[in-house]
Amino acid sequence: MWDSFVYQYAVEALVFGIGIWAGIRVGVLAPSNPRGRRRLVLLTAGFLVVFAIQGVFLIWGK
Amino acid sequence: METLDFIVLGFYFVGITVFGAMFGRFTKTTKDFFMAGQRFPAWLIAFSCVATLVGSYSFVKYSAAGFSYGIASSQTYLNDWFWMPLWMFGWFPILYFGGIVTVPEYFTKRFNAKVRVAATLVLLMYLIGYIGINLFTLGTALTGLAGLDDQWIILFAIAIAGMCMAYEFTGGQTSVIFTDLLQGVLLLIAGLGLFLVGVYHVGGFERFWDLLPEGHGRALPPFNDNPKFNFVGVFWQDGLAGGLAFYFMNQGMLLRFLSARSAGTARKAAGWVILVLMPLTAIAVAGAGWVARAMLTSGELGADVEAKHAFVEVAEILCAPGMFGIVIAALLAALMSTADTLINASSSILVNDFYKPFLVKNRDDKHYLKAAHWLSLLAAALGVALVPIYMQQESIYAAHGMFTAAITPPMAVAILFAFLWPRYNSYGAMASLAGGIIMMFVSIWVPDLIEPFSHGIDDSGGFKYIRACYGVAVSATFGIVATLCTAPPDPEKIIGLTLWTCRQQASSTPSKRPGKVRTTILRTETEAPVESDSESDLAELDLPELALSAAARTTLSVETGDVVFVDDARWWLGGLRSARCAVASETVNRGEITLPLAVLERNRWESGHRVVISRVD
Repeated sequence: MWDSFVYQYAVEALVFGIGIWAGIRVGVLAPSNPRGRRRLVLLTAGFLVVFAIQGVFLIWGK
Repeated sequence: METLDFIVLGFYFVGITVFGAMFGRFTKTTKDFFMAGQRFPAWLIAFSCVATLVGSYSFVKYSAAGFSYGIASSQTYLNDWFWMPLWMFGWFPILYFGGIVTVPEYFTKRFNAKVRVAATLVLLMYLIGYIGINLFTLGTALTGLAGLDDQWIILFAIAIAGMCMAYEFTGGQTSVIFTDLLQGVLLLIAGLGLFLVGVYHVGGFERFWDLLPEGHGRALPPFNDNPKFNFVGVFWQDGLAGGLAFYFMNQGMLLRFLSARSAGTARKAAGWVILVLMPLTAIAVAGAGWVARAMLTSGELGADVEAKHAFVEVAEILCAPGMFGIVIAALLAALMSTADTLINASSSILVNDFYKPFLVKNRDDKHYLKAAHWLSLLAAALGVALVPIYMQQESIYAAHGMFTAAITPPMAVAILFAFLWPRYNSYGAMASLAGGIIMMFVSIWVPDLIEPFSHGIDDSGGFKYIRACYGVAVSATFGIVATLCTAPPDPEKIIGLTLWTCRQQASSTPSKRPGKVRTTILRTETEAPVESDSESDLAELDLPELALSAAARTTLSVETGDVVFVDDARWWLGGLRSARCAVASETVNRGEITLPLAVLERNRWESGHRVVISRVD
């Protein structure tokens, strides 16, 4: 199952990264201002939550 | 089913229809009809989305997958967050601040009328065909439950369409959102309740976990072992193409998020849907299948039980008469809520992309509102008309499924390229759409075309899921080649229509600027009693003016002309009584505001009523 996990998060991280990069480029996710920083943190936290849920069920699943 | 179950079902149908019909008086304009006046808070949008995203046959389909493959069946519901940076800060602001209601309308502005016509035709075929499938599925389910013969399917379909139209005809999106809210809550309670009762029934969570076979407790299925259910195929179809289509292309979902009171509210709603409600929904729709598998291991269910019957088998064992009716009502709620959303979405495309630009131009909003009412009825009638065809020709039912799978990757690619790649032009869009759809259909007869994208999946399953990977690849290739071989679009014409040019639009339209997204102060709210002294007529004003105190202006961080949202202090009204206002130049005493009388009358507010004001960003 780990091959599934690695494949999924490699592709998802790529798309997510493109979105973050584009957001930073146009300013809405710019880390230089507090609002952009907050958004970056929330988006990344959301990504990690899903990552963690699926990771937990791979490590401790059966 | 027992008599009591039928009584419960009857109450549900009558109750939901009467409840939905109560909201007709809140719909006065086309903006109200399609976007509910853009006044709803995040919690209402988010909960109403649950019922919409749980589509036809979700309970049966995902319980069957849960029964056969374990918790890996939740993969479909957990794979959308990675789209959120692009959706929240790319695609959605373009629609929201650009005043764009439909995808074909976006294509007209971004490309030309030809691309709009192509997208309109494709989306209408998809939407109306899908209304028919929902009604057919509902009719089939009710006929099966009542033990009647197939001739009743059409009668049940007409009855359900009639109930949807009883509230959707006058109430539009507002009725759809409020009925979907109830249906979403019902779905979650019934699905999660069935799962929890099932876990208790088999002896608690530890026992339940022990009873699951090896491999059923993993979050993801094997990469490519099983041609009928493999990770990589499901990921490409549901996670990539499906997720993109659901949030970027699905007209029903777009209208739902456009009904939010601000872009920030819509983003918050999307966050709640994906991070909280979708994981819960994954458990609600598949939980019965997991419990059924545990019951099979313990011997409570016979070895001959079929996966597709897992949901009903478990519900029948665990539910007393009456409760079973509630669970079945939840199953039907999933279908009905999808049908009403699709009817409203079809009407929005028929009005905005067909009636208004081609049939009857330059009429006032009242005329188009009337058209919206009747075109939603037409969409429902066309959906009903498809039911006998689906009944006679199962191949047509399957063909619509194929059509949906065929149009999703090309439409998704066209939308993604359109707002991400300024060089992408109308030739590229047409090539992606037409070329992509044609090649998707060709691959049904020549499956060897998919082989290079199969990721090692055996072709015995007909490449059911991985076809999406092939579709994305060919649509993107056609689009890129056609774009690079032709002239780029005029940069002036794409201002505000791509991620990279959206800020330019902001600076030219201050009242709708995405610049609000860039400002540093957020979510400041103040409470004040209303002091009305104005007798202005709301109809004469573009946005009614609101006078604030100097202190409130500072708290809200607004200036004259900025847009604020005035909401009733009773949060549970969900924004039904609210108004979007522009800040007036005059100021009033601290703790008071003034509003035009028409706003007060429309919301049934009186002097001294408590309201909450928030900045629209």
